[in-house]
Amino acid sequence: MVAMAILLLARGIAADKVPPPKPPVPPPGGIAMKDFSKFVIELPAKDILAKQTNAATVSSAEKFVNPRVEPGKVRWHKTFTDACAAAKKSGKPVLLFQMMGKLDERFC
Amino acid sequence: MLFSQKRVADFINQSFEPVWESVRPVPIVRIDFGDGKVLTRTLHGNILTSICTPEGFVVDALPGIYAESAYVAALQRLLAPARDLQRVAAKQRESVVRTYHRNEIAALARQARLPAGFRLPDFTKTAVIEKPVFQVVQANNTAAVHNTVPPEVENPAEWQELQEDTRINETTRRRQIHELLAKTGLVRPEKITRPIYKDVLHADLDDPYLGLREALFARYPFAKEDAAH
Repeated sequence: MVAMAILLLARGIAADKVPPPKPPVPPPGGIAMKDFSKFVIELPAKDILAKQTNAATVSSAEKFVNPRVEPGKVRWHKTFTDACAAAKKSGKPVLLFQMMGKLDERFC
Repeated sequence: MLFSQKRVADFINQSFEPVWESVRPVPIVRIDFGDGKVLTRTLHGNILTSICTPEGFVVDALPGIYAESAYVAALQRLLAPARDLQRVAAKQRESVVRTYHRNEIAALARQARLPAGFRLPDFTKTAVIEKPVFQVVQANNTAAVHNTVPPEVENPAEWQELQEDTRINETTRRRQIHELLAKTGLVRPEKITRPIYKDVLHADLDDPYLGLREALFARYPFAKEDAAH
């Protein structure tokens, strides 16, 4: 019960709804909570972080981001359709370069 | 790297309307050594360069990776049939293209025949870059790694394997391309991309493991457990 009261008070602090509590006096014969002040201090921060952190975020070690690079010095059209439209105007053939991965990523 | 070379980029910009497409994500291998060092490589990537009419039909295609000068030379050779086709009446283009490819097949057949028992060598990228990584992944690295000096990244033209790849591209693989296009005639790129990747470049785009399943899982004791996850 004491622990639950502490938890509720700590959440109240995080919500800025109640003033900081005074440490409770353990009941006679009751067990004194150790690290009470540390718990009260840390829980609001953890709570705020938990609310603000995107649930889909994974550690950097798990999610690989392929660095973006310039795809060379060729003036690439964005789509095959765009290239064909340009070719009709210019009279040039279309060069379609197909690959695994992406030309604008470092590892391709 | 190829398209960072000014000579290649200038030639393509002047002669073509270029566009690039990804046919599927490339497999990436990352080995985290646990001390901050992470090795990153790709596996089984390959390329296909198609020359198309402004209407979007494939005239010809270059399979695989080429040395820089050979790539430019091959593209230059493809300019002529592509431009010639545009001067032909639309209803005759189909037969013109098929005749072109049959003539190319005959020309290649007149070149030196391959020796008996010839085995298509690994692609440059596979042999030089990917194979060492693949051996580690396969966890069967009992064969001694051939101790050669790595090719200079700044001068891929010096890569012996790349030169060999180019030669194979311009002979065996090009013959396969010509045979396919002689049969299909004028065709949209999407109709031939998968057959070329599968039969010419030996990378089946519809296989989630790109042909590596046997090598990766045949002797892996935890394959069933992994599959369950």
